[in-house]
Amino acid sequence: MTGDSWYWVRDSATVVDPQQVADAGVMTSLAADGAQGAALALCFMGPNVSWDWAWDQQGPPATGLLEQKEALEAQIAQVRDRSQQAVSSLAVDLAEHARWLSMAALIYAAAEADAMGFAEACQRVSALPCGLGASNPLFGLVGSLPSYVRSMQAGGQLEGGSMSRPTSGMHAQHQLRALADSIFASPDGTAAPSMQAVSGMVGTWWLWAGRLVWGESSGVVAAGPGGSLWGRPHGEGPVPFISLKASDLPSNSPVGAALKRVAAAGPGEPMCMPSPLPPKTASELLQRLPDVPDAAGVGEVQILRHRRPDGSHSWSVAIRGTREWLPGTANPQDMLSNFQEMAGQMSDQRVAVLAAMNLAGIGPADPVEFVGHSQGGAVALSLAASKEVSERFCVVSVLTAGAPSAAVPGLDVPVLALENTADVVPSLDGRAADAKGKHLAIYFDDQELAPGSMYGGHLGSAHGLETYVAAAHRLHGSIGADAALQGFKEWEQNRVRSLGLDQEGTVTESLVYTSARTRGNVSVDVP
Amino acid sequence: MLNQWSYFDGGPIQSAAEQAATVLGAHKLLEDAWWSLLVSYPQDWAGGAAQAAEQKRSALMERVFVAKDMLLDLHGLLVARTELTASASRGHSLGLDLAGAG
Repeated sequence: MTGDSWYWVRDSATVVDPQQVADAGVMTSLAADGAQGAALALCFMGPNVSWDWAWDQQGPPATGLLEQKEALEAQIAQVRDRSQQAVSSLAVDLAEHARWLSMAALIYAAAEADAMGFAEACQRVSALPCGLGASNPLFGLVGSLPSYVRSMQAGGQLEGGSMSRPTSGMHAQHQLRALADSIFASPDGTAAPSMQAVSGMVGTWWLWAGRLVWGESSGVVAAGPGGSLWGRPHGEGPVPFISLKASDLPSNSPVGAALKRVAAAGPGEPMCMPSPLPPKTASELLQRLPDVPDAAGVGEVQILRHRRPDGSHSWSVAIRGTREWLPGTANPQDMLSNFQEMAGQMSDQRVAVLAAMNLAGIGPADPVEFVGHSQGGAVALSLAASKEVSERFCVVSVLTAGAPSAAVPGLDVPVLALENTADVVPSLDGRAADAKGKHLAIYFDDQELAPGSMYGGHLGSAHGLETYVAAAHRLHGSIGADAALQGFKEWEQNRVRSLGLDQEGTVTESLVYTSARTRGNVSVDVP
Repeated sequence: MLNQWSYFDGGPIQSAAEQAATVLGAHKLLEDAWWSLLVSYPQDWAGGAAQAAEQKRSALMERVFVAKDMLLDLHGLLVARTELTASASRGHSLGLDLAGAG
């Protein structure tokens, strides 16, 4: 696979008719077949040319003729070998380009949330595994549901059945959309509203299920460097936070119990980073996400504080993905927050992140970026798009990896969304990442990524963070070689410049915040 | 004709004339491939990916063109080889010493 044939870029400059791209894929595939036939024919020629000379009957030819013949045959062998090599490699590259175009057609059709267009593109690009039950996508989803749910827990990749790599993410997208449309008609013909309605409905079920099992959630406590805060979603306005002191709270009160739990799990003080150098590329930034140690039963948010030589600060708010696959647990990084986010509601995880940002002391003029994987990416986008954040903080950049992002409106800040085409998690909102505002979406096929990956040819699951780190790493390495990555290059440059990470002497440290839901009635007064 | 379909080193051995015909057939396939690529241009596609796709398509068309030229060269050599055989055969049957004549 050549360096530029494993990813697809979609930005605001993209104008496309997916069917034309599908047709181009088909024509290129025909060209590949022709070149393959030519390569086979040349191969069949064999290495030798017979000497059509009745040697036995007529004796050997004259000496000069033999020399002439040998010189000619040497020349023939040379040109034949070069031709065989050229045509064979041409056939391979044509087939790769045909596949690249076919995938591009599917991605664009998926992004347009046009089920008929997607099904048609699928039919045209039959070279790709396209087992979507296009005539009845709802049936396809129901049939795939058990493996779909398992895939969510196992790593976001559907194996077997009608959906397989590398297009399973796009198939899941359309099946989910079909399910959503069958429950809630989409008034404006787009997918997101109906998926939001479904997510809201499922979120409500799970909220009640959580209440039955663990009791009613009444807010979120977050603790770490800077103290501890309690807060809960409060209508449409900003989240009101109340500063807490453990000594003032009985440990058997809901807030006291939650505070005790998060304080025991968190480090409390700023941590030394494994490397104090600021993350300057998308892959370096994503690599910082697992720096937070896992703590049982509580959520974690990491905030990177970049101390610049002039004493000013910039910040990276790093949000990890789902930690609990049950609804309404004590940990706000659970499935309930997932459904709340996709429904466009204020999730408890969003409250936890806001509390951490307050505790870290991020100033209104300090440049701040959000980065998140999976649920973390959805929360990052929601926060960047919220009025509360835009009024109180100076957001300069957003990076999401494997996150559903279509439900969030276009932002004024540069957004980079990375999506693996085999990962079903970004498909949960029923459509692909869009190219609204300054939104740059890069799709990639992790099958083609593995051989050259920084993990020695082995990647984890389709949804695994390491897959996204490896993709970002390779994209960065391809910047100079491909004009299509100009947007990616600009996104990285803008981020470094806006956060001041290019200033010599900038040092990064990590602030870790832990969080937990509170249960039952909370006696503190909400202002 | 001696050795025409005998096997040497595990592969079929064709006469130069047959090889020339094979090469012409391969050339025709590449000619068709070039035309397929020519019409594989999505008119309504703009943006970074479209630019990359167009660059790739142009580069592939150029490579098809070069490969076609190579096959024409090969064909020419094989024809020359056939003619050399024919000359040798004619010369021998006429009792001529072609080397000396050359």
